Amino acid sequence: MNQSVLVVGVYLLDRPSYVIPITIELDKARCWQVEQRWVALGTGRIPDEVAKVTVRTAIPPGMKFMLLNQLLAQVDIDRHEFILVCDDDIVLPSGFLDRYLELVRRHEFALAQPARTHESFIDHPFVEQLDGLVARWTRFVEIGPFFSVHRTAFALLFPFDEASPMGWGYDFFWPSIIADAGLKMGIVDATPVAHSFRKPVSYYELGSSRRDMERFLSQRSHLSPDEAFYIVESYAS
Amino acid sequence: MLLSAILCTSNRGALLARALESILGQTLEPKDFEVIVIDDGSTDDTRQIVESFERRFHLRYAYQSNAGLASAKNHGIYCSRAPIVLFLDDDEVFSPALFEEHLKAHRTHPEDHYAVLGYTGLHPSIADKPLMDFVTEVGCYLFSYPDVRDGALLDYTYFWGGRTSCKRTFLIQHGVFNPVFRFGCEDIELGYRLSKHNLQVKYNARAISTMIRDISFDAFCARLARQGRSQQVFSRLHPEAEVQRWCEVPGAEEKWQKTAPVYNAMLRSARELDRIANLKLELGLDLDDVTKTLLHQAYHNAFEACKLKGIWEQKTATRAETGEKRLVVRDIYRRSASR
Repeated sequence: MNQSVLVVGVYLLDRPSYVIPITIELDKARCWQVEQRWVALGTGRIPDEVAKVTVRTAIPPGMKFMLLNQLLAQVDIDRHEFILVCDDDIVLPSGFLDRYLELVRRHEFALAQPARTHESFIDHPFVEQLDGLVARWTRFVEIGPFFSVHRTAFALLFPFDEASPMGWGYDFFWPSIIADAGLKMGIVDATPVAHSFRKPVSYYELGSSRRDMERFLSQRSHLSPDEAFYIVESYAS
Repeated sequence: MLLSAILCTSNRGALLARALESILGQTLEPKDFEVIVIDDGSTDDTRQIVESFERRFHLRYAYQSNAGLASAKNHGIYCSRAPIVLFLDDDEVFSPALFEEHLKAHRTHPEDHYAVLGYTGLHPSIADKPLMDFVTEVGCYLFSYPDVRDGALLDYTYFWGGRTSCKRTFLIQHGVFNPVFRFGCEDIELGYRLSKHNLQVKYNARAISTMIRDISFDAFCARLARQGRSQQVFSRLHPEAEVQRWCEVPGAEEKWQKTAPVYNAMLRSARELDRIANLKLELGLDLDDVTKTLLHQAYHNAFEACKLKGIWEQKTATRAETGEKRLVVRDIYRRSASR
């Protein structure tokens, strides 16, 4: 079995971020060969600690999922078992990657995310850690701050649809295409990540992303929040 | 599917069996409802009992490691498929029309912000117990129906767990239970947050459930101490005056300082009066008015003291002692999605 994962992400140069501890934590994985490719956004100096994993700088900051597409286009993604998409403002628990991917594999989630800790900023309460569970098969995985795609879903999700370049709306569209392909998606509650450093949508324009999302979803089959926030099966071990 | 009934349970297999048995008699067509049982870490035969009801109606069993009532209820909400979710208790049995009556009330009030409160009475086997009578009809520590009239529109303080239904979409849009609450206040705290979105609670006295579990004096004292701890947490989450009043936190510290020296004696006295009252009833003797008055006063003093103790303990305990993992005001930064 291929034991390689590719981490792609963007981090802000002009603002404080957790990119250094994130990259260090991900590199600690013992069960996986981890390749990291990050884009630095802005004009500040690239920290020495992440110089090796920073493959380019974008000035002025570009749209996140367009940048990710450019990153993915430069590599042979089929060499990897998983692609992990990571933001720069989360705190990962120690030993995160091994434990998280163990559970993702055990439950055969083609698309997955770790739950958010209780202290996190929460867009959708559905993704908050459900105490008492290890993981759940769901109809919803958020566009950030962290998600994983198994190789079985690469062709379905990549390249990201640039009709909504900040990704808004993907998470209500993805369940349709994942289910149509007979795949599973889920949330891993046992390895919650803290997303409390920056309020979501702090550094970009909210209105245009919302308009992008409305246009994006109006042209695609998608789930409503009522349909999406549903546990197909829950796992306590 | 019109209604999802959510039953959270933990190590009460025998009671749960009676609850599920009573669901067999619902007048609502089985195709129109489902029952979600969330097993919050039971180590008894709960799973086998639930399995014995499979194929009798739409029944879904989901297990979680013990995490408390709020987490279990959220688990249940996310497992449910119907537009109306009804929260039930595992120590009650349900009148045949219960599900239909909840649905009727929602049809009368189809707007998302209306919830429906049903009536809960006591089973004849426990209705005569002095303590059960006191906590439902006099002191109203368990339920507080005497002052509520059928059809009344009530505020969030009546969003009582275990006997309330609401629109699933309202919860999905505006918030679910705060998992910090393992027991007590999870319902009113959610109700308080939902009140910011115009939550109103319609009382339907024909939606009837019946409590079947006898609670001993000491078990009720322990329950109120836990309730007090939750009230303290609730008050820290929401500093608003109305919440502080509901939580009975202002002045609690001073009251506890006065109560603490006589706390044990207070409980001993009430326990003894409770024992005597039960003995009299077992012997077929009535309780005279003087005994009743004394007993009720003793219950009241003991239960108030237990709540104060809980509030005080929570306030002074360290995080490690309480097992409290987080205290977070639910604050949702919503990316709205098309429906």
